[in-house]
Amino acid sequence: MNETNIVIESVVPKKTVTNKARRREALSGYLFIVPNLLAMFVFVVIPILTSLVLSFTNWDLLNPPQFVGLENYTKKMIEDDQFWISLKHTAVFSLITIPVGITLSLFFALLLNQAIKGVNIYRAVVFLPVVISMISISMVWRWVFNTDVGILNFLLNFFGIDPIGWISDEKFALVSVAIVAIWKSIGFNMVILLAGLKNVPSHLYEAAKIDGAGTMTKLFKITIPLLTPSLFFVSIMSIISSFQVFDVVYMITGGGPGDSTRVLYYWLWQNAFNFFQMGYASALAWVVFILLFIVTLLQMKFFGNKVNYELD
Amino acid sequence: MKKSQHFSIKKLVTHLILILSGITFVFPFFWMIITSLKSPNEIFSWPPIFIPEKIMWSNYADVFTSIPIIRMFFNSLFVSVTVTLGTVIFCALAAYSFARLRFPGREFIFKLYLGTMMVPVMVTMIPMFVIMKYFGWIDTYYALIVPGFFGNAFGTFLLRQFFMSLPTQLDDAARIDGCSYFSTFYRILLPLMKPPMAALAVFTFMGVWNDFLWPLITVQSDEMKTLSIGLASFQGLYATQYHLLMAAAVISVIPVLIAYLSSQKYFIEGITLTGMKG
Repeated sequence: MNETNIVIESVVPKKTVTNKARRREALSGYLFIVPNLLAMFVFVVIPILTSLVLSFTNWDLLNPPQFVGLENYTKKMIEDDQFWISLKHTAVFSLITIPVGITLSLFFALLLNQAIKGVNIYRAVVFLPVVISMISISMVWRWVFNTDVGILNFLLNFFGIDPIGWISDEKFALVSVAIVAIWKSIGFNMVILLAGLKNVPSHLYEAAKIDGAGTMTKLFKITIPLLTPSLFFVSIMSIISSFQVFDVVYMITGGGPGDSTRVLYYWLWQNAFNFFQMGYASALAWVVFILLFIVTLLQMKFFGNKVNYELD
Repeated sequence: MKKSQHFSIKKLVTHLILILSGITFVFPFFWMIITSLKSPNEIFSWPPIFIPEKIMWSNYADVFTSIPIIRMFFNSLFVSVTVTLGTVIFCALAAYSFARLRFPGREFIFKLYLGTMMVPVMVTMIPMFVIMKYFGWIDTYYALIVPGFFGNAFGTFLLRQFFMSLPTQLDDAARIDGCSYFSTFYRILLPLMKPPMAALAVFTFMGVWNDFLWPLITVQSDEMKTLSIGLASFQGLYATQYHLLMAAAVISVIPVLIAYLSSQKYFIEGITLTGMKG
């Protein structure tokens, strides 16, 4: 068997053999990616195109879709008060969760980057909320937020503060939802920032120490500048997730009280699966996607050019 | 002497901050367990009771009789395990191909594939629902399993990075020994890929187990409900029976807690790796 191979190879011009081998390699290459690509095609590419087409129609799932042109994006969306309200809520939610969340994540990353006893246990504790489903833990938070017998108001009472309607008062509900979202995301961001902190060379701190720099100077002149790649990544991820907040709203407030916690994704979901306005909901999805895209691009423009620091 | 004292005070303050904030992170879990063991009267008492007078194990028995939690548990487990298996297998195959085999259009296809990660779920959600309806898969395991089964861009990217870090001499040696591309992949490289594959597996399992929106859209009957949407409907039905709600929540959290505590290393590693792509 081996011998015949050798004979054939010596007879056939070398170029043909490499061509044949190359073709075989390419064939295997394609074969191995076919399942992924097929799934991507059916479950990602086709849905993206369909969604775009649907966004120009009026469709209730029962009757055939009607083409309405740009109406979903223009007249309908502009006149839809709930769209603007939910847009505002999403913006407020993001403006609370992102700065507070990243600051706290950085705080814990810095604390837990030190050599202290039990550091792994502390890290595991901060990370714990990340792995638990938002659904299960939201049920507890709802109970913690309870106005009459909730533990949070008990704590306030202990310090002599009047009870707050955490999720029953329109003024506080969005903040309460944001608290849960922050609480759950700190661990994830912290792990990424910890990985970034490992790359900050310690000789810089030693040099700064010799120059007599204080803790704050070191933080703002060395740590944070060198951490920008990680901070950048964390902020992009935070924006993406805060624009798509859904589970926690669904479980804790259901968009209420009133409309006070109705966010974009919730309004989209309601349009699609409560009111069966598939066309309009698709248009909403594209608007959110484009908004997200623009915000990310802006962020890259203002933040991105500072990302790569050359060391040495 | 003075210096070491200064340091120990600093450390003490650090520990104090960490313990206090640690309580904030753990408290909801503690409160979940405590509430699940209270009697209905104790739940609404003011001031709140921290240690129940009589531990009500019967709340758990009540949960088992009042909702089909065993079935939901099975559904979640079955769907999560199947999707995880498929994801790891197909991502590894594709990752090997993208990292090692040369074929026309490879870079282009890979970039296109990565590009799909940019598109948020909300854009594809409605057409996906329509596709499931068209296939007749609404309210079946197919809808819950098939879309995730054949791998995804994130997993493929993650494993590809690892294949790239393995020396190509391994492949060459295997090829000279007469291994096919598949057996080179399966017998030579795959055994070296255990850590990243474990990270991807843990990631996928938790993601599917905790997924809420997709089952919310595609599942209708009680028999097909996963734990996450089962709990959500349970919350609606038993809004005031917090002892039962909390007992159900505890049951739903236990497997993930076990998975997390036993594979913490891989989990943290996996997240660190997602950060690398930034």
